[in-house]
Amino acid sequence: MAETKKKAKGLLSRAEGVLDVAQGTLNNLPNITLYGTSLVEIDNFRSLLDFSEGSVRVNTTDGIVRLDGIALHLAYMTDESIAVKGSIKNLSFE
Amino acid sequence: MKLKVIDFLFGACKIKATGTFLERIINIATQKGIFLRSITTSGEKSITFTVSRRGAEMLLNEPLCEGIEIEIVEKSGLPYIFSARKGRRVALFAPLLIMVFLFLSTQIIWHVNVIDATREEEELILAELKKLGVKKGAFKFTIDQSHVKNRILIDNPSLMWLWVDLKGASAIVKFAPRDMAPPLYDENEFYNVYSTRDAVITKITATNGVAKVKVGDTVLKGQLLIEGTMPEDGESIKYIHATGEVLGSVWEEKTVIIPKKKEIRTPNGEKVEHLSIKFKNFLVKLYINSSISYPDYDIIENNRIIVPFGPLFTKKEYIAVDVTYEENNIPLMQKAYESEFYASLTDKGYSINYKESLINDKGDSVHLTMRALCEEPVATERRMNLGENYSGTDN
Repeated sequence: MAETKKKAKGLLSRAEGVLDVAQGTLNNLPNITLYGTSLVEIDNFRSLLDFSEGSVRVNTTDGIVRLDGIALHLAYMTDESIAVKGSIKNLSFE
Repeated sequence: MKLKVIDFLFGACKIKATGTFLERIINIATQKGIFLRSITTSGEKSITFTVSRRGAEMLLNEPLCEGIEIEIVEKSGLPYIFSARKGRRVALFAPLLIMVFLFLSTQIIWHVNVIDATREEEELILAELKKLGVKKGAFKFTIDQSHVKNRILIDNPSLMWLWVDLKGASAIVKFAPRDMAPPLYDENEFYNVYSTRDAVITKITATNGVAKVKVGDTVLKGQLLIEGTMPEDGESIKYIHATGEVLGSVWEEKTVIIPKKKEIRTPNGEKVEHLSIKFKNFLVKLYINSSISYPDYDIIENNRIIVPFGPLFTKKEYIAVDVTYEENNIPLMQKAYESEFYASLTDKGYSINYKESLINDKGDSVHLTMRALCEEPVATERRMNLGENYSGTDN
């Protein structure tokens, strides 16, 4: 099952290359945009896992994105994108 | 900024969620299509966020997560402002309506006042003003004061100057009458002077024409006094405009009836009121029994306008009176009538040479006849009818 998924991902990734479109367009990969150290926008996320002033964990199709910082809060959240504001110190994948 | 404007127009709520695993409610609300913003933690077990009015209703009506309590912390936006003042809408609009009503009231003329006018002048000016739209109930902004002034002065040569001042709800009319010059004699018109009364001539001065009577003559009404003809070259006659002053001795007479008893009507306290509303030609009686039970009564009628230009509220009071009679003081009344009569003659410029009064008893009343022998003008000019193309000279 996992192998099939991996194969499908690989195929989609290759198709993106052939079609010359942005990466993640076809296989729904998370799109993370960092504006300096104060704002992060994550598109194509799955759910919010953990939320506190010190850290935010967001589940995406490509794994869990973890943000560490000070006075973090969510500027907005829709079913497609989430924006985290505050003083971001670290962005990592788990 | 755009979001703030939308929140203000459509309303937004700040919501506090308290419980464990608060991320659940954020995820579920998002999946339900509720747009969350400004999500902040407030303590370990609570978060606050802002949602639209509709989103808040969804969150409150359908609890999305067990064990999480949701409460509205703050409501903002126009819908909440209006709903908070729902019961006070009248209070909000009433002052506005009153202001509009007051403004319109001040724009209407309620009173037209002609200053320093005799009754005839007032009637004339009011009629002219009415024709030009200056009347009770007219809007002030429809009145062109210069046009009104010019039109009235053109149409009425007897007025020298006029102006309509619009002050508050009144139209104040100031005017100055023209001192009319004596009419010019038309050389092509010929006049005789005739007597206006049966009289004994006391003075005759013919300034133009030939006097036909002399002092001491008795003349009848309509008799020729000064003839507008002048003999010219023996046989031919020249017609002229005869003028002159002619005074005559004339008896002026007036008879008044003085009742011997006067009626005294004393209200005895009984009163019946009949109320009715009149609108144009329709009369609505607000009473059932229209008959009055007592024989003698006085009627006092009061009319009151309820609404401007609306129906007329009429109150008729039938006040019962006890009628008694009292003897009149005849000599005192006679004196009063006499002084009034003689004063009226002197006011006309007549000189009184002799006075007398006759009293005739007629049972219930006395007939007082007052007579005065006066010296007064008795002449009037009358145009001669000589034909249209007459040149003024007869051969």
